[in-house]
Amino acid sequence: MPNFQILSSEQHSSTYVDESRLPTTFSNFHLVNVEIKEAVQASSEFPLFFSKVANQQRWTISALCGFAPKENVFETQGTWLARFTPLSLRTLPFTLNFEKDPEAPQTVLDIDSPAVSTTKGEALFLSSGRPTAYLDNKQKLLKERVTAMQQTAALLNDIAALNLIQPTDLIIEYSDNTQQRVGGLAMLNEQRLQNLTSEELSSLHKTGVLSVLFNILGSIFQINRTIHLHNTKFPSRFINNVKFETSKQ
Amino acid sequence: MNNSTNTSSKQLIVIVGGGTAGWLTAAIVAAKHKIAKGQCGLDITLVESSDIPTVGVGEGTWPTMRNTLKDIGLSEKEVFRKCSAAFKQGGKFVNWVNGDGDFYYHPFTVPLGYGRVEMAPYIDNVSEFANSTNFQQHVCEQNMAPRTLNEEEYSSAQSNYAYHLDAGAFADMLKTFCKEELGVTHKVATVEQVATSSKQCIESITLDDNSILEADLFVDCSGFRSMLLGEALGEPVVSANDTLFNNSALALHVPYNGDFEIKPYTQATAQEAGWIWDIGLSSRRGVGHVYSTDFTTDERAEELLRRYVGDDKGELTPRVIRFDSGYKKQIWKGNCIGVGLSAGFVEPLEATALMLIEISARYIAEQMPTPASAMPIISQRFNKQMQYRWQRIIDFLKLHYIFNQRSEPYWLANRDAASIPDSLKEDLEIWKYRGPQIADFSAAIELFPAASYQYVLYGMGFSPDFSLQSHFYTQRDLANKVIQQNQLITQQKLSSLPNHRNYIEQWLAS
Repeated sequence: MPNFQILSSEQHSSTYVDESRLPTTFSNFHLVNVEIKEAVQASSEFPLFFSKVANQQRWTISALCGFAPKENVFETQGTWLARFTPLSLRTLPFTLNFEKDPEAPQTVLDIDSPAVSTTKGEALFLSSGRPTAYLDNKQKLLKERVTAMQQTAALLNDIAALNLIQPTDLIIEYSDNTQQRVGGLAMLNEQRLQNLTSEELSSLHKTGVLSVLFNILGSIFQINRTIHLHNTKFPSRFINNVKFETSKQ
Repeated sequence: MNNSTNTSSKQLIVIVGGGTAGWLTAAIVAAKHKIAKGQCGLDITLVESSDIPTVGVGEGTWPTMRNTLKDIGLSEKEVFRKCSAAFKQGGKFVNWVNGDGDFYYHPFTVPLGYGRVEMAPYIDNVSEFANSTNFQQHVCEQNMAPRTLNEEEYSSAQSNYAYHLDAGAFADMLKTFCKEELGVTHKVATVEQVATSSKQCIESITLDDNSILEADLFVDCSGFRSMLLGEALGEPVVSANDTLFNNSALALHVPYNGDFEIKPYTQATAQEAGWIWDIGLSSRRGVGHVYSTDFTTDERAEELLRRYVGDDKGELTPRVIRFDSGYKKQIWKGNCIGVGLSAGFVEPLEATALMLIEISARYIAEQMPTPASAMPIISQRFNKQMQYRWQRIIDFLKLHYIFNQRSEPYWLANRDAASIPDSLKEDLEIWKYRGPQIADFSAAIELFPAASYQYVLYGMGFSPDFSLQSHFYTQRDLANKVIQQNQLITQQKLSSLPNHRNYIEQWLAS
C-alpha cells in the first residue's frame, strides 16, 4: 500500500527520487489510467478499456497492463517495456490530494515507493526551500493531469450518454484449461458507433473525440501483446486466449 | 600621435574613469587583442580615482551582452554568482496607454513568421500583436527562465535573453578579470590636469602623483563630467530635453521578503510625470523613479516611488540622480573618444546605456591599432554612425510616449507634435498605412529591428489602416497557421521551462 506524506521542504529536504526505479513502482498497476488526450498514443501500446473509477460514478480510460491485480506485465525486472508512459505513471511517486481543499490540492509523496531514497536520485528542494527543476516538472505534470482528467470525465460523459460504452467481461483461458472471468471493464459498442446519426457523428467530430474512439476500438488487438508479455513474465500461468463477453446489465 | 614616452612598440590606450563604462571598454578592447594570459597586443592603462563614486544604476542590458561576455572570456555562471545576475527576456510596459492597469510587452524574441509574413494586418486586435506572435510574454508572466538546466551556459536556443546585473559588482568583476587575465594596467590616481593641442586633441594628462600620461587614444569614461571630451576639448552636448522630458531619477535597492519570485523582465510602470523601473536581481530588486521636474516635485516623485515598493515607513533611502538627455556629435575628437555617460545619456527606458558602451568599445577594438593618419577617417565614420544611432534611440524612446491616452499634463505634453522629432514624424507618416517593416531597418548600423517598433507601436494600440495596400495581404491562411503554431510553442515552453528563481539557484549550486 502506498504511504502518502504531504510534501514539504522541511520534511523532504533530504529526500530523493531515483527515476530509474520508477518502473518498479509501475509494476503495481494492472489497470493504468489513460487520459483522453493520451488515448491515441496509448492505443499504439496498450489495449484500452473503460472502467468506472472507484467510489465515483464516472468513467475513465484504462490500459490493460496485466490480468490480475498488482501484475503489470509491461514491466520486467525493473525495465519498462512500453515506449509510451501515461501521465498517471509519469507523475509517480507523487500524487495530488484534493480532500483538504478541492481548489488547491496538496502534493503528496508515496514514501514507500521503491523510487524514493535518502541517498540517490533527484533532489526535491533547493537549500532555500524552493523546489528543484525536477520537482517543478513533476508538479507541472500533476497539474497537467488534473486538467486532462477533467477533460476525460466530461468527454466520456458525453460518450456514455450516447450509449457507446458497453460493460464487457474478459474470459481468460489458461493453458491448463482453467478459466477466469474478469469484470468491471467496458468497451466501445461498435455497432452503436456505426449507427450514430450524422448529427451525433458531427458533434463527436467537433470535439475531436471521433478519431480517438476509432483508435480505442482498434487498440483492443493490443491484447495479444499483453497476453504475450504475460506469458513471458508468468510462464507458469500461460494464457491461451482471452475472450470478450458483453455482460448483462 | 604623441608617442614619445612609449618604450614599447605597442599603441597606447589610456582610459580615464573606472566605472562600468571604463572597465567594460577595457575588457572588450583587451580581450579582442589578447595574445596570451595577461598579455595584450595593445598597451591599455585605466586610470581611476579612488574618491569618485560611480553612478552604477545601469542594471539592465541588451541581448548583445551575451556575446560580449562570452567574447571577453567570462563564465556566465560566474557573472551570475558575482553580479547577482538574473535573466531578462524583455520589457513590460504597465499603464503606458490609459493608466488603468493596461500593459504590453517588448519581448526579445522576434515574432513567429518574422521575415516570412507580415502578421499585423491579420490580427483583429493589433494590441494583441506580441501575444499572438510570440511566446515570451507568457513565459515572463509565469516567471520562467529562458532555458532548462540541460542546456549549456550562454545558450539562447530556446529564447533570446539579456541580463539584469548589479552594475557595481559587474565593474569589480571586470576590473579583476582585466588585471589578471587581460593585461590591463590599473592606476589609482586623480587626473589633475589635461593638456590639449588647441582643443583638437589631448597631448597628455597629469595625475596627482605627478606622472604624465600620453597615449595614442584617450578614452573618456569619466561619466557625466566628461573631463576629456567635454571639459578639455569643449565638445558640446546636443540636448534632447525638448523631446525626452525626464531629467531626474530616484533609485532604490529593495530587499526581497519572504518567498519571492524574480521577474525575468524589466517592468516599467508609467506614473503621473514619469515612470518607475523595476529590475529583479537574484539578491534584491533595483527600483527607481524617472521623472521630469517640470511636471512634478521631488517629494511627490519620492512618495510615488515609496508607494510602488510598499515602503510606507520610509525605511529605504533613495539616491537622487539629475541628468540632461542628449549626446555629443563628435564622440571621437582627435585622439579622444567618449564612452558611456561622457558621450551622452538618455533615460534608461530601453536599457541603451550598456549597449552603447559595447558598440563603442567594439569599434575601438576593431580599429586599433591605427596609424595617426587614419584616425581622422575612422573617427569621422564613427561619429556619423553614432549620431545616427543617438537619433534613432531618441526616436524609439519617444515612440513609447506619443500614443498614450492619459490625461496628466506630462502625458499631454508628450503627445504635443512640437516635441516629436521630424525623423519620427516621417516614419509614422509611412507606418500609418502599412506599419513598420523589416526593409525600413535594413541599415547595418540600426540598433532596434522592425520587431521592436512593431511590439511597441502595436502594443500601444497603434493600428495602421492597411486598406490602401489590402491587395498585398493575401496570406491569411499562413498567418492563421503562424498564430496556431505560436499557441503550440507557447504550451511547450510553459510545460518545459523551469521557474526563473529556482533555475538560478539550482544552476549556481551545481
